[in-house]
Amino acid sequence: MNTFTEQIAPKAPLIRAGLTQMVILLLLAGIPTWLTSHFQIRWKAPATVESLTISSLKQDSRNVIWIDVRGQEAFDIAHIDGALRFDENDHDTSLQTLLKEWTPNKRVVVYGVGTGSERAERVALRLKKDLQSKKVYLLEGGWASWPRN
Amino acid sequence: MAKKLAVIVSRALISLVLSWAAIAKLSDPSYTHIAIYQYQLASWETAELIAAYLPWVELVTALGIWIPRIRLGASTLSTILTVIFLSALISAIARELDITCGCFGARDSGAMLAPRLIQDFFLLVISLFLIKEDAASLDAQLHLSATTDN
Repeated sequence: MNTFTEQIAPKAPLIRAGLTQMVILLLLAGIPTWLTSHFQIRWKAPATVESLTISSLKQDSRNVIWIDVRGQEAFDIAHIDGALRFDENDHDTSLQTLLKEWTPNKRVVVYGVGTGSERAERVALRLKKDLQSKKVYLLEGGWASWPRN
Repeated sequence: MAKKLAVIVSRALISLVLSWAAIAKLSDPSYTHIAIYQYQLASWETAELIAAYLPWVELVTALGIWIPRIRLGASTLSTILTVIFLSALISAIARELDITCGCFGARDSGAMLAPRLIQDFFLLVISLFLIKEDAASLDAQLHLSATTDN
């Protein structure tokens, strides 16, 4: 124990200096992080997903794949006919299921519980990138706007 | 002379890799957020925080590695970052996660994890070499100032 202390003690100023420098660097990195987060500064405009209304989709419902991002329970109670449930936490499995039906000419319409569903937007953005397709949309109003029979 | 050159080349390599990684991440924050989240080591919210902070830490480290007054801290930070990246990659491979590295933003989306593991190991060796050199240099300075004070 003594030998260890004897070996470390002379290095203490060096260790202190290294740690201090590291803390300074971490604090310096915090400044632009805070500024970009606080003022919502982006190096490029954030990607957006276009929303489609039910009426426009009903006019041309061919080649549409519906993606339901609500929870399993809500999906089991009711969903749009033919919709695929997409589990954001198991993205790869859900994506694989989608890929069995998807072709580049098809439109993918994602819906969540209602208007402004962050989960629906996240999934849609991700799918847009994964599928390298511009034909990924959000359903305006989400499931709440879907007419019930 | 050869050692001096090795130190400069090492600094340039670390600086280049970290700057490239930082700029790639900053140019596509949403992709970085998702890539971090896919490692399943952090919640969605925590991954968002990491995605915002990590590129700046990388960038500050890449610059700091050239500044004599803070380069020991920068090389230590570079080592810690590399160890964290290595651990995340090893854990993803062990859990057989079918994900991409995300180390260099969206452009990295096709990269396999295993080659990145080798690259990170290489960076770790270089960072450790720089710590050794920077510590020796600072030690000499501290000794010199102690001698001058006495």
